[in-house]
Amino acid sequence: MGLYEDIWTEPCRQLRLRELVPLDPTTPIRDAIAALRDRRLGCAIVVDAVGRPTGMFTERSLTRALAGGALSLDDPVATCLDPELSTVALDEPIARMLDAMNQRGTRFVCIVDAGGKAVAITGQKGLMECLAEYFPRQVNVMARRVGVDAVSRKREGG
Amino acid sequence: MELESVLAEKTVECITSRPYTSVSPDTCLKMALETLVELDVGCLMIEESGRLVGVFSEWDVLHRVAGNFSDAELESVSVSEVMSRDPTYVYESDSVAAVLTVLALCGCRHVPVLAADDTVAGIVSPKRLAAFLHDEVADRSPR
Repeated sequence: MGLYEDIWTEPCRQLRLRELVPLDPTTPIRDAIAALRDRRLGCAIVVDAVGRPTGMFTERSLTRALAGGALSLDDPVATCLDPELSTVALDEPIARMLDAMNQRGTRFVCIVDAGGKAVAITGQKGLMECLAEYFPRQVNVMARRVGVDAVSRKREGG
Repeated sequence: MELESVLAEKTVECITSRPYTSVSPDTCLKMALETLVELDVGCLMIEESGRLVGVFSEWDVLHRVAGNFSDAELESVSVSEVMSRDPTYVYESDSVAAVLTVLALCGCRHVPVLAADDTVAGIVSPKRLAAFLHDEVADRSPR
């Protein structure tokens, strides 16, 4: 099958999903930042008592709060969330994730299981890694140009 | 045409890469933060004499700025002290597939776009890339 067909039929579980960083809404912003720095990630998910996602703490929400000038790192992370929370189920097609990213302008999507429980994070990087697999020659060319190993990839971000 | 062919043949110019926002290396962190928010962008290009010397993104805010500087320091420290130096870039003439692979390889979310003379020409952002891919994919039914 080709890329079109795969995007419409392959489920999100086929993507290289990122580790979920689940947070209680009362977690201090300072601890949320530390958790993301430790894991080299850009997004954590606030979950309820049964693990369902209720909010998204991202580098964007942090930037907005910091620029606003009233950020206290001791405040609960629930006070510093993105206005949008995009969720896609593990078995929904990759096209559904692309749709969510496009409609909401988000870079991150929370992946949930059949019961609605948050299980992972994906987003632009996961999608790019998926698409890049269709261009192995291009991967080798660009890896040489940018000076990275085509197998061991660099950090997320930027 | 197959999507693989579309992505291999279309160039970066087909993904909107303008407008872009750049600031000088001596811009203070507070101003850089405010610029990110006011313009609703995720990445600033740091330009000096028309040349790209770095990028400053929300990633840098999370991983290098938050909690590390006092309010006074945010107004005195320049963005060049925390920016990501020597960012990976693409040329306007590169294919969309080249951009996708750069993003996959480097893990960055924004890729500066340079003209043939190495001056800054634009930036490919996640939002612009998602819109481009969505347009290419959404109207085509599975075969």
